[in-house]
Order: sequence, then C-alpha cells, then structure tokens
Amino acid sequence: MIYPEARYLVAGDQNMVVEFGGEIDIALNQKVHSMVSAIKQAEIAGIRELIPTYRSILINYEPSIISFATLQDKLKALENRLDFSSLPSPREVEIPIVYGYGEPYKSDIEFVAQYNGLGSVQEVIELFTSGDYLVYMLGFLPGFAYFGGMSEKIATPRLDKPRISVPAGSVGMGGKQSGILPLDSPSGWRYIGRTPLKLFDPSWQPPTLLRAGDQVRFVQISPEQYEHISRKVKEGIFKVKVTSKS
Amino acid sequence: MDGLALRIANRLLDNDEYAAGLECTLLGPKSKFLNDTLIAITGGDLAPLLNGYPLPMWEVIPVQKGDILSWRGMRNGCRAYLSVAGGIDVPLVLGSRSTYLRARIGGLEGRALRTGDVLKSVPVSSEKLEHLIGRKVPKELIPEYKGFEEIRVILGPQADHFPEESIATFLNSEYTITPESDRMGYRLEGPEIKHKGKADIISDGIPLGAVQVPGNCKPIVLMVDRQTTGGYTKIATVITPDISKLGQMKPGDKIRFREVSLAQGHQLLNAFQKMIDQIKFK
Repeated sequence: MIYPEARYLVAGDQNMVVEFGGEIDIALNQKVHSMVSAIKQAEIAGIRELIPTYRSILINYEPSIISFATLQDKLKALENRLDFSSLPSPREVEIPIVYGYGEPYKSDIEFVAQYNGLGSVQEVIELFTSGDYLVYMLGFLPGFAYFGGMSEKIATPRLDKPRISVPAGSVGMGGKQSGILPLDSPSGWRYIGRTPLKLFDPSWQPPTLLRAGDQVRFVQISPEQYEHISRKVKEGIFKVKVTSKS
Repeated sequence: MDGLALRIANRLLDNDEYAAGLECTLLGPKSKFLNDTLIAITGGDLAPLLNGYPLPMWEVIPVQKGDILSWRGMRNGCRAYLSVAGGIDVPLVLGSRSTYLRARIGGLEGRALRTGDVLKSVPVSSEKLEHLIGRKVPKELIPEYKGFEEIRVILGPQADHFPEESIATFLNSEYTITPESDRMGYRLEGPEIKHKGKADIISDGIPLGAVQVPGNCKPIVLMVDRQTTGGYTKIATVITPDISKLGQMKPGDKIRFREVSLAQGHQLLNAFQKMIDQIKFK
C-alpha cells in the first residue's frame, strides 16, 4: 500500500526518512525514484546525500543550512506535484550468467530444485533466466542491487549458517529476494550461478554497474564463455550491453 | 570513529580537518620517521613513546629523521589519532581518504597497514611548520574518556514499532559494549527491548548512530563502517557529538541512553561545531 501522504521521520540530528509505504511494490518503488529525481532537480541547498530504498528515501542534510521543518515543507511541495512522466526511461542491463559451474553453485542450484520440488536443475535455470528483474535499491555492500521479479517457484530460504566467504559476481536468492554479490563477502544466501561482470569500481562515475530503477535481464552462458568474458573484463575490454528503453 | 579527536589533531597542524591520519585502536604501530616533520597525537591515551620516552598528547611535536614512535598500550579511551603535518598522502576515493576494509577501498590500497609499509605525507614548507611548534590544546578542551557514558539519542525513525514499556527500558537501563563490536557497529548487552510486532522491516536507509533492535531484542549501534541499508527496526539515533564519545569506548564499557528532542539535538550539534571552530591553541 502506498500511503496517501508520505511520512517524514526524524532519524537523528542530520537525517530524515521520507517513507511512502511499507512494502515491496513496483508502483511504490517508482514513487521513490520519481521523488529522488525531483529532489535532485530541485537542487535544495543543505541536502548532502540521498539513499533510495524499496519504499523510502534517507536524506542526509546539513541542519545549519536547512532546518528539518523547512526541508519537510520543500519536500511536501515536491511530493504534491510529483510527475511520474519525468522519470528517466529505465535502462536495461544484460547480465551474462553461468549456472551451477563449480561450488557453491552446483550444490546450491541442486538444493533450490529439490527444495521447490522441481524436476531438474534445468527448470530452475529456465525460471530464473526468464524473469524480468527490477533494481529496487542498492545497499548492504557497495554495488549490491536488490532485485524484484524473481519467480516465487524458486524462492529458497537462507542457509542456517552463513558461508564465511562467497565470491564476487555470485547470483542468488535469500527467500524471495535475489541479487548479485559485488564483492567477496560472507553471505547466507543460496547462489545458483555467477556472472563474470564487475559490479563495483570506485573509479567509475557512478561507481556501480547497476542503478536503482534499472531493469535487468539474465542471459545464460557456458563455462567457456564465462572464462572468456572474465578475461575480457579483467583486461577492461568487455562492453556490458546497456540499452535505454522508451 | 572519534572524528572530533582527528579533527583537533589536524587543526593543531593547520591541516585540512579531514586530512588522513592514523587511527590506532588499542595499540599503535611501531614506526620510524624517514624525514623531519611535525606530528600531533590526540584521542585515547595509548601511551605513545618517542625513542622510548613518554610523549605528550594534544600538542604539536617535532620529530626528526630516524625517530621511533612506539606505544606502551591503552591507558584510557580506545583509539588514538596520529596526524602528520600536511596529512597522509592517500588518494581520495569516492570523496574520502579513509580505509573501508569490507570493500577493500580507500586509504593505502584499501587494506589495513602491515609491517614494512611506507606512508608519505603531503609536503609542507618548513616556514609554515615553524610557527606551529609549541601549539597545545587548552586543557579544558581535552575530552575525558570514561568507562561509563551517557549517550544522547533522538527517538526514531521506528520508535513507533515499540511499546512504551520498551522505550522506557531502553532509556532507563545500562547497556554494556560487547566484544562483538567494531567500526561497523557495537552490539550491546542489557535488558531486552521487545517489539510491538515483528523485528524486521522492509530494508531502508541506515544513518550514522542508528540504534537497531533485531529479533533477539538487544540493541546494536551502527557506526562509521555500517552498511547503507538494513532491515531491522531502529528505535533511536545517537546525536552526532556523541558518536565520538562512543568511538572511544571498548568492550566492557557501559552506556546509558538519554533522550533529547530534535531541537535540542540541533542546538547541541551547533554548539559542538562552534567549539571545534573556535579552538584557540596556546
């Protein structure tokens, strides 16, 4: 549900949360992104940083420049004339993925098939690859994208005990959520495949491959293609397929 | 973690307040100066020694090529800050010179320092350095670090997920910092803070100082290396001036939370900023 009016919450002496609702929902998330784009265009003095999430925006502000009340008034005015048509057309990013190639991918994809009562790993692959994914938000680790759109037929609970280190590029799910690890990291998710793409580089502008609001399509590749693309990525000569949808 | 101490060390040396320095937790690295320069050490007292002799803190210290800096170990506080004239020369990464180990970015190659590393400082002319010698932070401005602190918070953003009794428990109990505490966050031990309903929310942004309460009902204060988003209810947020106090606390130390209003929080922040801006060195 989208609230009729956003809630403006105090989060300490330098942050405000603008909350539009309390669930994971495409229309709600679009409202978040429209608002972010409206705030950026308005160039309100005193705003230092915006963190958009599934259903809210964390705004870091400088209280010596703008008070909470003034900021709230300005944002309410923006909210009231929020124009969804002003949203930039989404980008579609193509992500190559190899399934079940090495560990933990092989055991995890087999577990996902078995847990969900699917006949074969191939069914998991087809269900995962055919999904239309939306990047609802970035968070947790630099460049970690939270996807919506995975088929619930392959939703699989987290491990009881997280693995100490899962390699960067691992693609998987934790319950109904799915995402790609941008860095080697501890994680309790199930990882069914791996992409050779690099998702985070501090020298990029912006530093992440994926951005909130992006649409993502997975394309299955073979282990040979994985190794080939991996090498090209390392040499910095692989071009990620990004198209602008209108 | 203790931004105040680092900013003062940098101000002593006329560095940019946010120039890179070394944060030394519990014990500092033994190091040798390869050139004559000036340094300043602030923050927790880790008993610094220069060539084996005790070194005063909170003032500008001239060091010479070949001098050895070592540390006897923690006497009070938890983190010492070592600034060098000009600041340590590491590149700006995403607007910061600090090291973020989890993402392996910033600082020196995104990693913790190890034996054999050589750090360079940004060159400063010797005339500029001369007039800094003798500078000291006035005694009354040197913070005292104690094993017990009152930490001021503003309730929210999810205080409404807790019944009144839980808010009262949170504000009227003593909490101990546990060994599971680092630059990402401090896990606290103390009376349980029960939720009205579930402990989980749809993940949203996490500000510095957020006090989140996961399903086990024990609060965690999120510090400088925190994740940007998370899915636990946040009962309150520590005010900016008290983050530095927390940064000097270590496992076993105790805290009590005290509520302030947003207006009070802004007055305190303003006074804190003024205090730093107006420091006159002797």
